[in-house]
This record gives sequence, structure tokens and C-alpha cells, in this order.
Amino acid sequence: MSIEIALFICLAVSAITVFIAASSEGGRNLLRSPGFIRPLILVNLAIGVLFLGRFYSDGLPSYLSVGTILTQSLFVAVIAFGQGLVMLIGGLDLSIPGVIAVSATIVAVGTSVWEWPVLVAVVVALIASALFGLISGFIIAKFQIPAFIITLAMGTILAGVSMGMTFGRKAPAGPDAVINLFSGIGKIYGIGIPIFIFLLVGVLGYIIQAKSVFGRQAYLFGSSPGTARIAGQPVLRIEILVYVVGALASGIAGIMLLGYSGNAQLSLGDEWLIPAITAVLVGGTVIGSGLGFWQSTFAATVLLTTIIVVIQATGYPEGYKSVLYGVVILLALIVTRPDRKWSLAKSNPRQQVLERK
Amino acid sequence: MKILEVSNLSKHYGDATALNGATLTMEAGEIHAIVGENGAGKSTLVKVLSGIVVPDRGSVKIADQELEFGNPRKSGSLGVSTAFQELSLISNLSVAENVLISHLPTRFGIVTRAGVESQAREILHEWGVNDINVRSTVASLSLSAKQRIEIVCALNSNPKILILDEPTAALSDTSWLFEHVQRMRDAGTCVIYISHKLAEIKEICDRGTIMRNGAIVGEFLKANFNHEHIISTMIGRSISLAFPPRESPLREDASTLIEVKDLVVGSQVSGVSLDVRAGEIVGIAGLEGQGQRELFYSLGGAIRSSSGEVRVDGEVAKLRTPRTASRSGPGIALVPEERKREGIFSDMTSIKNISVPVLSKVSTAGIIRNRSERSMSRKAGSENHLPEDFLTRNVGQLSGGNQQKTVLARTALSGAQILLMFDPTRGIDPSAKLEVYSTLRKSSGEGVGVLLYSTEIPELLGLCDRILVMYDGKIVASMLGSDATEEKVMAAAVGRHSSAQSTGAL
Amino acid sequence: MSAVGSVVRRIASDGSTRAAFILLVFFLIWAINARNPLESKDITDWLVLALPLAVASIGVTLVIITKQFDLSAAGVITLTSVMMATSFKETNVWIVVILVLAVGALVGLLNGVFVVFAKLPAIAVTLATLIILQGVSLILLVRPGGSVDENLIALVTGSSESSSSAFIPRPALILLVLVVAWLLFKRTKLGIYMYAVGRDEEAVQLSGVSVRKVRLSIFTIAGILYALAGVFLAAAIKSGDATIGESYVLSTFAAIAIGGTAFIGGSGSAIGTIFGALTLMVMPKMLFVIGISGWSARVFTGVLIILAVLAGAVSAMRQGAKLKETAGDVDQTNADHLVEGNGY
Repeated sequence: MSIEIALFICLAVSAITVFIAASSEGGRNLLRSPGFIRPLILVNLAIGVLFLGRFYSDGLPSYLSVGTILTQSLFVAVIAFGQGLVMLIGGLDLSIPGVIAVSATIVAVGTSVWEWPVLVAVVVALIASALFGLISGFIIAKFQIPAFIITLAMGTILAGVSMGMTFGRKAPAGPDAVINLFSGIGKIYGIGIPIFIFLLVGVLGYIIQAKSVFGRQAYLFGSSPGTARIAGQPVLRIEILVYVVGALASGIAGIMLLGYSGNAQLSLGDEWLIPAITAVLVGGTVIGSGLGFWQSTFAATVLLTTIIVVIQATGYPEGYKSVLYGVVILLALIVTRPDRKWSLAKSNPRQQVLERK
Repeated sequence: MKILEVSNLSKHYGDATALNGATLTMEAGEIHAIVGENGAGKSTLVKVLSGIVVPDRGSVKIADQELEFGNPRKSGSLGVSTAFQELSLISNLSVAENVLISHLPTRFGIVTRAGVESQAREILHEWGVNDINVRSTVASLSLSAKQRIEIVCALNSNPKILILDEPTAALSDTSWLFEHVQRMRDAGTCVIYISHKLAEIKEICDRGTIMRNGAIVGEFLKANFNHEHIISTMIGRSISLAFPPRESPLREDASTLIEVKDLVVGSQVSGVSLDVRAGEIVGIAGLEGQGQRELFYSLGGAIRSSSGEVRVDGEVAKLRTPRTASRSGPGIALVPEERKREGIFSDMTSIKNISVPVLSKVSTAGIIRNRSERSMSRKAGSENHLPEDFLTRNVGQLSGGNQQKTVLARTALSGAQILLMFDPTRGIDPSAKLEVYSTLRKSSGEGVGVLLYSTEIPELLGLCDRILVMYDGKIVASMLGSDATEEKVMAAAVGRHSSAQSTGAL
Repeated sequence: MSAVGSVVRRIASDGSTRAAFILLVFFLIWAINARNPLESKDITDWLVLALPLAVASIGVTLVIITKQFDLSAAGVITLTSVMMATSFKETNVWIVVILVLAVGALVGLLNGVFVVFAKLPAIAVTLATLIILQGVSLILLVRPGGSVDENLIALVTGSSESSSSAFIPRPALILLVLVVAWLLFKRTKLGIYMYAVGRDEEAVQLSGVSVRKVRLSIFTIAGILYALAGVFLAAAIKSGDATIGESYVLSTFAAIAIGGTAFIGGSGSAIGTIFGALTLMVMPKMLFVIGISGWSARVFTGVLIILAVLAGAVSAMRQGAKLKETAGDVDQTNADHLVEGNGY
């Protein structure tokens, strides 16, 4: 089956789903829920963008390009999962590239220089990542310091640490087991392993964010820290734990990226931070709120990587990618902001506070 | 000469009424009192006039000019000047800068310290305030100094209409204020004087307007000032809310759930002792800002107390956080003052709002079981009269009454046997109030001990077994619910013990 | 003993003093351990690099005083320095400077509009502008290069003068001008409103001052300062580099944190920030002479930032507690927030 037909079938299935849903009351409710309709739109947009790629490259769309897109989406998705939780509770984690670098370096140096078994190296890397999250989270939560400053500083420290661990030598190579898993070389039924992992991440992320007590607590905290506190929630623990989970996700992403790129460069995580933040915002998560769906973020990662792959096919310089990310973030912010009015009217944002007093 | 014409002003917050067709006129050169219970609409009226609140309906004319709503500067330019009850001073600026904030004098664009200070000193001097250093920052001043500065700021802008909202709340010496207010009146200013203290009003005001439930319900002149008449008009008998009666008398052998000894919280609560027994509803009354909030919040673990002892179920309890409070003894739960900020998760559904305390109960291995969560929330919601349709709506979209029912449903699910209810009926509609009352009765019937603060005294009279009155951080009176009257409570609330003289404050 | 104690307490409690003290210590370590005695050239080099950081960080400081955030500084610096180094070879350099400052003002204004009128979170909006500006810079200048007008370089670095005639290094002179400008600005109406808005927006609104106008003006002024920093940066490195701004995301906030401005709004000082920027730039030199370099220097920087922010937060909390004790119930909202910060 040619890729075009396969993608058309995807579009058609979505259209039919919407059509069927619109014919029943329960289905219409489903269509109104952003947790269902938004991912659907995002995925179909991605397919549309992929078709647009045809104008620039004969190689688009192709099974190969879809494979590349889904593989790269994996890394964005893992990072966006952690970042999304952090943003949900009103923070912003800028230490992600640092955590990625350290985690990848631990695994690479651990297996190649110190000759640890791969599993041990992976466990150590993840424990270390969680620990970094714990430190940042503790400082942020306990002293009420803006998250981005602490995570920025933490990122600097970690970049230094991973530099130190390689002793200025060339970037150490990752263990073969990890490379096989994440580089896309390993295949099951002709489909790259990362794609299976990508789907697995989608399911796990949904369970954690939408179904678990921990996920719920993050929503509660994001929606109103004051209410969560009065309602007897362990707010300090929740906030710290979110940073721990966020850092853990980055640590996992670090190991995956080590496998994808083959060796632990210092800049391994740099290019993934902004796409992850963008995916979270495009997915409709509002910073510091109870609003946001993992499935939307997950779908947004596919759309974003598709856009990037297409842009790369156009051959425009790197700068355009940045501009596009920035514009997409701004648009996403404007479209999803909870307060839909531009406040040019008389009422001012603080009025309600005053009135309530 | 008519200086102010307010016609048919209405303002609703959700389904709560703040102003309901208020119509009144005021003359230049008079001191005009506005009296009414808390929530009668006085503050909302002040805020409409000062350009902070935009009313739903109605119009205001000042010296025959239509007032454009919602713009403090427009109000100012028409000659309205307000000393706010909550004070509009900016704590990190100096006294001098605050006094001149809206018209800072500049020299080549620079606000020179010497310039501001000398000008501010002059202004303060002109209004007879000589003991405040204009250089000090406002944060370092005492409350009464702040209040005087707030008043001077209002006096000094040469207003046509001067609004003083509870100007003596923190003033020990009122003669200073009265002297200047009279001076303004004699110069032709219309002074709107809002106060709970009838003695002051009798002394200084020429005329008065009585408000109730957002409407004007009466007027009085200095000549025919009648204390009892004013109070009875203010209280009114228009809303005859049926308070559900106690089903069975409080049991003599009911155990003491919480016992507070000499509790001190900062400078706001200075040595409060009280106790609440199982099945008892204990009311706390008092004017706003007498330490009620700090008392409730410290018992709920939301702020730390400075000293004192709290025993829960006989054991000394350390109420460090709301979480520890909820876990000490039979459990303490706080229904907070600011519903939006501390009571609800506005962008989440009622189901998720209500199920918070039982998350661990409705989950297996850390995963929430949707069905049991929904059924628990539905049960608690319906017991608290929350309509079933609203369960899946975001709480932020519900009316104040239904929001509060969500909060109460959550509190009920927490299983706490000690409820601290801080003004639970504020800003909710009458029918929702009734439902809150019946919920309260029901839980107390089941042995829950309730500490209830309300700004509406009839509520306390209708519900409480005992009423404690707070004034200046202390409990100044204690009476049985059956003996209490609105007059007795009010007398104690303004700092006069029931034995004191009968004139004076209301 | 008690005198020493009070000095220590003063250093610990006041942000700017703390920053000056750290700067002094680092500078002395550098000066004493340097292999050769410091020459005026060493000092000038240091100051030339610290100047753009100081100017940009002052801009961010203003925004933080109004209780907002701005990540776009690094983007504006990058774009404007690239503009200085590339496009306008035939144009008079001063016209380019004015143009560049206008670009900065425009970016600041746009940030302000998004934050004030659309009520979007400042951190996300300015992150977006940061990314866009970095992208535009990369489009303008793919590889580092270009050249900067000699007159401008001379003006900023003082390099054309014979070293004997320059008593005060030129960048120090510029910093001095900035300090004076700051002291004056603090006493303008806008300067006073800036502090007021950051502390108590509601009270400012009640006083009839437009909070929006203040916020918009401050965002715009900050944008201009970032652009000015870009001009200085171009003069310092004498060429353009579209990736040079990245480090500024961290270092502007680092300079502010070390400078003792707490991130709570309503307080802060540009002078402290200048000390912070000088500290950050002397730090690698100081670390180098005592034998720390490379990766451990980075770790050191990160740890120092965290400690500086912590010191600021703790002293703000303590002040909040004090405020709560002395004042009545009026400052509650502020004091409560700070005190209850560690309450849960």
C-alpha cells in the first residue's frame, strides 16, 4: 500500500469517526471534550502538513519519513511529558538539557570507562536524574523561588558536571544495547523499535497524568495551590515530586537520545527543550492551571516533528525553524488562554480582586 | 444644592445581590452617614462611586455630570475622593510619596525627595498630623498612622464628595478626624461617612441613610436620631429565613472535640480560649478584622500560631499545616474565606473537586477508579443539595451557592469531625443559604462540632448553641444562643461589654 | 565584636551590599593571585565584557521590580548585535544605533502588549519572543562574522585613546553614567510607580494610577536597554554571532540574583545588578588564577546563582515576617504570602 493511500485512510477514518460521533448525543459530548477532539485535529493537521511536503521534496510523504517523524516524536514526547507536568503546576523546567547530558554521560562513561553493566548504568543515571529533580524541586517549593531560575542554574551545574565526567575527552559512545533500541536500527515486523516505545510512552503518560493519583494531585496543585493546601493535600510533596518526575523523564530521554545519536555529546539535549515546551503549549496546557491533556500534548509532538521534517526538506536555514517555534508558541498561547477577552474594555484584570475585598 | 444623585444602582455577583436599585441624593455641605449591616451594600456603593466597580444598572450624577463607571481617575476628576476601609497605601513607598501618589511634583521630570517631603509635610501639617515622619516607609507604620494618612490623602484632594469608609476602625482619637470633617463640610463638601459606630454618627452626621440588602430602606436626620429605630431598620425583618431547628437537644455528656487555650496569632489574635463539643455549633461574631480569620486559619493549620495550646480530642495537637490539622484526632476541616482562591479548583469538575479527600480510597495501586470516584462524589454532592447536572461541570462556571455546596461536599467527604466554617454563606443566594443551614444542622446532629463565623448575626442567632464575640483579637463576650439578641451581640462587637452605657455604638 | 556582627548583618540583609561584598572578594582574589600585577588593560577587558551584561540585566531588573519576567533579553541582544555587525555597512553607524534601539523598544512593547492586554503569562510570551529573535538573528547571519564600526568600538571600549591618557576606563565611565541615570530614573514618576506596581497593584489602581501604562512603559524601556546592550556587545566582540546571546538567558538572571534583587516584585536595584554583572564576569578570571577552570567553573557559577537566589528569598521571608509583626493587618496579603511560604 502506498503511503499516500495509508495517510488518506487515516484522514478518512477520522472524518468518519467525527461523522458517527456527531449523530448521537453521547458522541457530540465526546466531540466537545477537548481531550478527544484536540488530539484528533492535531494528528490530522500533521498528515496535512506531510502532504504539503510534497511541494518541496519528492521523498515526502514516505514510510521512511513517517518512521523518522515518529522516532523523533518519541524524544519530544518523553521530555514534553515531564515538562508538561511542571508547566501544569506553574513552573518551567529549563534544566532539561543539563539532565539529559548528565544522564547520557553517566550511561556512556559508566559502561565504556568504568565498565558497569548497562542495566546498572541506566539505573544509576535515572537515580541521579531523580536526585537533581529533588534538589531543584525542594528549593523551588520550599523557598517559593521562580522555577525557571533554579532550573536554569541547575542546568548550568549539570552541564558542568557532564563536562567534568568526560574529562574533556571526546564524547563517549553509548552501549550497543541502548543504541540498538533507540537508533531505529532495531526493528520488529519491519517497524522501528522507537515507534513501539513511542506508543508505549503515549499510553503510560496517559495513565500517569490522567488516571493516577499523582497526576490528579498535580492538576489540583496547578488549578489552585491555595485550595489544594486548605483541602489537606501534601502540597510541598506534590510540587517536589512533579520536579522529580520531570527530571526522571529527562533522564530517560537522555538515555534514549544517547542511543539515537550514538554518543553522549554535551549538547545532546539542547535542541529538544524548545520543541517540548512548544508541544505542551500547542497541546493546550495552560501554565499554572488545571487545564491540559496528555493526549493533546502527545499528538502535538507528532505535529511539531512533522513540521520540522518538512521544513528540513525545504532547505530553509535553521533560523526559520526557531522563528516558527516562537510564532507557534505565541499562537498557541493566544488560542488556549482561559480568559478569552483582550482586555481593552474598562474592566481591569485586578478588578475582581478589588471587588471581592 | 444637590451634589450627588444616585439612581437605581444595581450590582449582582453571580446570584448574590450587592446593590439592588439603590437611589439616593446628597447635598453639598452635609455630612451624610450610611449605615447598614455587613453585606448591606455600603462598600459596593463606595466602590461604584470611586470608579472601582462597574454596576449592572443605574446611573450616578455628580454636580449634574454623569459619572463614567469603572475608572478611578474619572471619579477623581469629578471630585470624588475616598479613604478606603482596606486602605490604598502602597507599603514600599514612603509616606510622602503615598500622600502625593497621583500628582507627584517633579522638577525636570525628577521627583526630588526634598520636594515631595516638604510638600507632604506641609499637607500633613495642614491637616494636623505632625507626629508621622514623611520619610518613613508605610510598611513600618502602625495601623492607626496608616489610617490617618489614608484619610489625609482623601481630604487633601479638595473633593466635592469625600467618602470615608469606616475611618475610625483603627483610630483611637476621633476628635482629630471630626474637626477636619466638619471643616470640609463647612467649606461645602459633601462627606459620606460610613461607620458601624452609631455614637460617632450621632455626634457628627447631619443626615443618614440606612441600607439593607443592597437597597435604601430608611433615612434619618440628626434632629430625630433614634438609636433603636435605626438598628431595627438596619436589621429589618424582611428576610425571614427559616433556620432549621435543632432536632435533639445538645447532649450533656457530649465530649469536647477541640479545646483552645490562650491562643495567640501574631498581633491579630491575642489570647483566645474556647472549646467546641461534639454536636455543638459555636458561633463567632464580630466586626470584620477582629482576628476571626486568624483564629480560624490557625486552628485549620493554614497559618501558624505564635503561642497557646490546642487540644483535639483531649490530646495536644500541633496544627502546622492544613494536612496535619485534618489528620489530628477526629480531623479538622476549614471552609475558607476566599472561596475562589482557597475553596475551589475552578477549572476542574465538581466530581474532581469533591473527591479530593478520598483519592486514596477510590484508587487501586495509585490509579483512580473513575466509577467509584464518581459515585462517592455524587453521593456527597447530593447530600449537600448540589444538583446532579452540575457534577460534570467546571466549578468555576457554577454560581457561588453551588460552589460552596461543592466545598461543603468535599469537607463532608473528608470525614472531619471538627468543622471551621468561615462565613460559609457569604455571597450566595438565599435558597442556597437555607441548604447550607440544613447541611450544618445535619452534620451537627451526627456529632460534628462546628465553629461558625458569620458576618450576618441573624445566622448565628438562628443556628448556634453558643455565641462568642470577638473584638480586637480577644473574646469579649460569650452567650448562650437562646439568650443572645442582635443588640447584645452588636454591643459586644463594637467593644462595649453588655454592662456598658446604652448610648454610644450600635 | 558587635561592630563586626553588625557589619556582617548589614551585608547579609541588604542585597546590593551583599553583591558589592561578593564582588570585592572575587576581585581581590583575582588581583592578588594574578601572575602579573593587574594592568589597566586587564581591568578594561573585564569591564568591556561586563558592560553589555550589566545593561541588559538592568533592563530585566526593571521588569522584575514590576513583578513580571522577561526572557527575551538574550534574543534582543543577539539580534541587535548581529544587526550592528552586518547589514548597514554604508549607513551612518549612529542611524543604525537609533534603528537598533527602536527595534528593542518595539520588541519590549510587544511583550508588554501580550502580557498586559492579552493577559498571557510573561514567561511564556517572552520565551516565544526569545526564540523568534534568535531565529531572525540566525537568518541574518548564518555564520559568525561581520564587522563593527571603529568609531563605535572606540567610543565603547576607549581603545583608540593612548592608555596613559585614559584615567578611567571608558566602560567604567559608561557604567557610571548608567548608575546616575538609574538614580535619576528611580526618582521619576515612572520609577516610583514601577516599585509601587510591583508591590501592590490593587492599591496603585485605587490611587488612580494606570497599572497598565506603567507595565507597558517598563517593558518598552527594558527592550531599549537590551538593544543598547546589543550595541555594546557588538563593540566588545567587534563582530556578530547569532548564537552569542544564548548564555545571556542565564547570566542576566544570574546577575540579578547575585545583585540581590529578590524575585518577589516591588524591590530591587540596578546598582546591585551592575555589581552582579561585574561579579559574574570577574568570576572566570578569579577562578582561573586559583586554578579552577572548565567544567568546575560552570558548576561554581550555577551553585553561586542558587545560593544568591536563596539568600534573597530567605531575607525577603524574614522581612515579610518582620513586616507582619510590626504592621497591623493591612499588609497581610504580602506578609502572609512570604511567611506562609514555608508554612506548608
